[in-house]
Amino acid sequence: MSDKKLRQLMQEALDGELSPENEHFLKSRLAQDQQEASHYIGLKEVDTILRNAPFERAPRRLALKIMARVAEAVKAQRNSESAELALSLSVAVVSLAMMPVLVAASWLVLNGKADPEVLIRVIEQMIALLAVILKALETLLAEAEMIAATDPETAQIVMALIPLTLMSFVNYMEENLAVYASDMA
Amino acid sequence: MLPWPDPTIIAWVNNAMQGDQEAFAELVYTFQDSVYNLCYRILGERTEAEDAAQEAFLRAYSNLQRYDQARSFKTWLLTIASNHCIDRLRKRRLTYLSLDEPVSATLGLSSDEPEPEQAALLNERSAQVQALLDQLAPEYRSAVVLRYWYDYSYAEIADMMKTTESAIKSRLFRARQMLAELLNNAQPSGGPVNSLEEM
Repeated sequence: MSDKKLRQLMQEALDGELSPENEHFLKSRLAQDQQEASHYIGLKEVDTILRNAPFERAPRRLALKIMARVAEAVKAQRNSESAELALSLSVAVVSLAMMPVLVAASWLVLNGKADPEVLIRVIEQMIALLAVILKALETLLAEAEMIAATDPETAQIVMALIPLTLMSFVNYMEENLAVYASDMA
Repeated sequence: MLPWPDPTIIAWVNNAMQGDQEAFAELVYTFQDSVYNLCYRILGERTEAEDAAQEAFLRAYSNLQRYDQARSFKTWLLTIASNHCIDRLRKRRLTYLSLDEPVSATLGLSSDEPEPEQAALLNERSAQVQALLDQLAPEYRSAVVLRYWYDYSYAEIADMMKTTESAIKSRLFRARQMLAELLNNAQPSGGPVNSLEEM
């Protein structure tokens, strides 16, 4: 039998998986070979030490610390869900309000084709307004993100300002579009 | 090992999934020793083990929906803890001893101390084994801990570590050999504590 197979039998002996026949064989081999016997004794010693190594108990207050972290995580999750809901509502409200404005803008663009001067003014005004809106949204979102790290509730108030800001721009656009419409008429 | 399914544990898990933090606290109280011991034996450092145990429970809480109730909750929890500890060890970027190379005798196991009594020898060796375990690569260490401290079968460990049963057998085989060589090199005097009669 090769050394490899012999060592395989030693591992099986440690795991208690050795058949009586193999056990007898291993014992007789180890009785004849001092080097392999030393090797097996070394493995057996490791096995015994590992089997007798103590089970470490959790330190006091570990459970309390875990539950505090769980409570924190749950709170953060709730705040994040509220913020997501606020953002979704904001986008929905603004999209709804923008619909008539976009329809009016399209109408103006289509009718302004006849008068290039008015068409250019309409497009310029719309681009300028959109740039201002995007800049304002970017600032509000950055502020909300910064505040959320320390005070999630205040961050939600800042998020609530987003639809208000957008609504005021929408009103402004509606007024301006009305002026262009009367100009073209 | 506890018989599975355990209706009390299942009830706590279901209630925790509904947001009942007290039910989750019961799970924490029940399994904190097991999780902490696993983390300590794999990481070898108490403060880090405590932090890892906290993280393991937190991950379990966040992933309760993914827990398969046909399997043991303790095994699932220990799998999370073991994977987390292995990740931590990998991030340490230390060099572990290769199991294919001969083991050096200079592993910091002092042989200058006075020779202990036979009864105290195993305790001393237990501390030495923790020091030796720290020399093993993460996957080997984890397999040794799950086998010896938790009495998992090769098949169960393979399932937990997402590998094959033969790979786990091979890891245990080589880890034992390496630990034996390390112990042998650190042997002060008086010879090993076992004899062939105990086979």
